[in-house]
Amino acid sequence: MKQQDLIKKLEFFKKIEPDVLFLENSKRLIFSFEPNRRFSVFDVLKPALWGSAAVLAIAFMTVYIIGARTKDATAYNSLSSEKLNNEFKNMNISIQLDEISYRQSVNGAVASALKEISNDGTRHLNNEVLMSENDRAHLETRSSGQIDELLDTVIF
Amino acid sequence: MNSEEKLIKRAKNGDKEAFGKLYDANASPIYRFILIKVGNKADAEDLTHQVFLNAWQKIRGYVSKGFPFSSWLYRIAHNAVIDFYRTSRHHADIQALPEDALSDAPELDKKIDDAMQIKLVKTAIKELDQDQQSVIVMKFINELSNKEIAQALEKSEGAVRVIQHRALKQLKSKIDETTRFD
Repeated sequence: MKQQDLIKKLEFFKKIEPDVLFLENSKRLIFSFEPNRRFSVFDVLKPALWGSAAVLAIAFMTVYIIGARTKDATAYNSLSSEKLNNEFKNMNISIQLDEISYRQSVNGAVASALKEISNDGTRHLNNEVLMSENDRAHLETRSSGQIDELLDTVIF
Repeated sequence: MNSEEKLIKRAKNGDKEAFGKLYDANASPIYRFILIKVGNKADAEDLTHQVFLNAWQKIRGYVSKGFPFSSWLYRIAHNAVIDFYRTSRHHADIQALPEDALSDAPELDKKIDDAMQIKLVKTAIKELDQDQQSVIVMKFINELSNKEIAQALEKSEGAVRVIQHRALKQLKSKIDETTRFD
């Protein structure tokens, strides 16, 4: 076959046409879809922005949770039974020691007071008692002026 | 701006009527192009539908670049046929052409003879590679220019001329070979 004959035979295929019904159905089906939105820079930025926001949110939550747990850990540690027991023991001892010390000072004061009460003499060092006796001593001097004159005479 | 560019602009804005007109102007040559390559009417219809559906969905991203809209459609169709052959689908043997493709000659013998030769040509076309098939169909059946074919196949015009030359040579050789044994 010559090339020209071949080309002529090829032209025969120009008569091929699709079915009209197929074309109508195809068009109707195609238009049931919407065209895709045109690509824009925002198409890339939008997911990137959302991604960044999500990462930031996760990071914030992580820091918050870790921070909260750190505080809780401190409080929890303070609630550890072993540590509590130790603190309690130390607390009892210090309370007891303080109490003993207090009792001692109180007892001493009471004993001193009792001694002073029972002792008629004025030989003591308690200031309050001295002051009160001083008051009494002044009351007594009124009636013992003569004794003072006699004492002055003797001494000086 | 010519009429096709106006239609494209409207179609890019979602105007279905405009795209419908582009569809009507290009459906037959695209269908013809695909049918000769796949040799099966059902497959040709499926692929033609896919090509235009694809085009409608991507119309907003279409940029003219000075070539006809059909060049873009041919590119989609060319790639669709390649993908079609890549799948595991069994491709039926060439079916008889529609009757309206047969010779208009009144004599029956001539009509039969023409039918046989057309079948031969179609079989020979199927044995070419995809680029050769595309060039033959676009050039001699759908009457596209070398420039349009080059744009559709993303090749240079020189490459298209070379492909065309080799395709015709191969077609002739195959037909002669078949005829010799008849």
